[in-house]
Amino acid sequence: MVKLSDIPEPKRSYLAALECPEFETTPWARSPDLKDARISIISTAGIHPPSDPDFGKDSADYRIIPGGVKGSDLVMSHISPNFDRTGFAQDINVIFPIDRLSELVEGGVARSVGNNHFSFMGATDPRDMEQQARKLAGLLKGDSIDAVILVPV
Amino acid sequence: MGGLAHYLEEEGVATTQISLIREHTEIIRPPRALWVPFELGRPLGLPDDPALQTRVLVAALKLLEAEKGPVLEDFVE
Repeated sequence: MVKLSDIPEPKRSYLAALECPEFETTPWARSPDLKDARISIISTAGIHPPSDPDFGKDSADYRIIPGGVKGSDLVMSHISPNFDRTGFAQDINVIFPIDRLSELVEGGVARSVGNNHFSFMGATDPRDMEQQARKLAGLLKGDSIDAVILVPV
Repeated sequence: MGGLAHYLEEEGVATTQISLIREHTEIIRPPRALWVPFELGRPLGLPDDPALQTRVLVAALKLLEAEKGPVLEDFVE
């Protein structure tokens, strides 16, 4: 796992048929070296505090995950049945590496962790997320974030 | 996931990402991606294996120091 050829049917055909957006060019924003970088996490696992509304079909917006949150305080409302959920239930870091990122900062590998992290619902067509993503960029810059790590599920 | 990277980078926010399905990432061509050989739902590897999770996270974050892209590397233990 996971190359498409390794995935059993019918999931393989479903995933192979997913239309991926294509871009003529690849943008390139510069980051400082990792030891000087302030980092936030963006997940597409559809996770959020339980007090926030669930994600629904085609949800293109995001939820804010406070930086000090405990993984056990998050819920998942991602609609797809196509991925393992037992790992997440056992250890949030398998989809949302909040503890590992904090440890890297404590060890001097990265400079700091952002005040907030964010989650989208990855089953939504990413092209529908464009407006929300550009809005999110403003929030990230307001928190002096140098770079984000995007984590799928 | 890779689409988000395009939009954020265009707004000036540097990104790196984990890729679970290499074929999709090859089409979308985000700036920096680390393909991992784990099953869907486990992008950082195994639960309760902080050493593995840290190796994956550092490998993805180190791509931020690449000079140019797009970069698509494979995670190798």
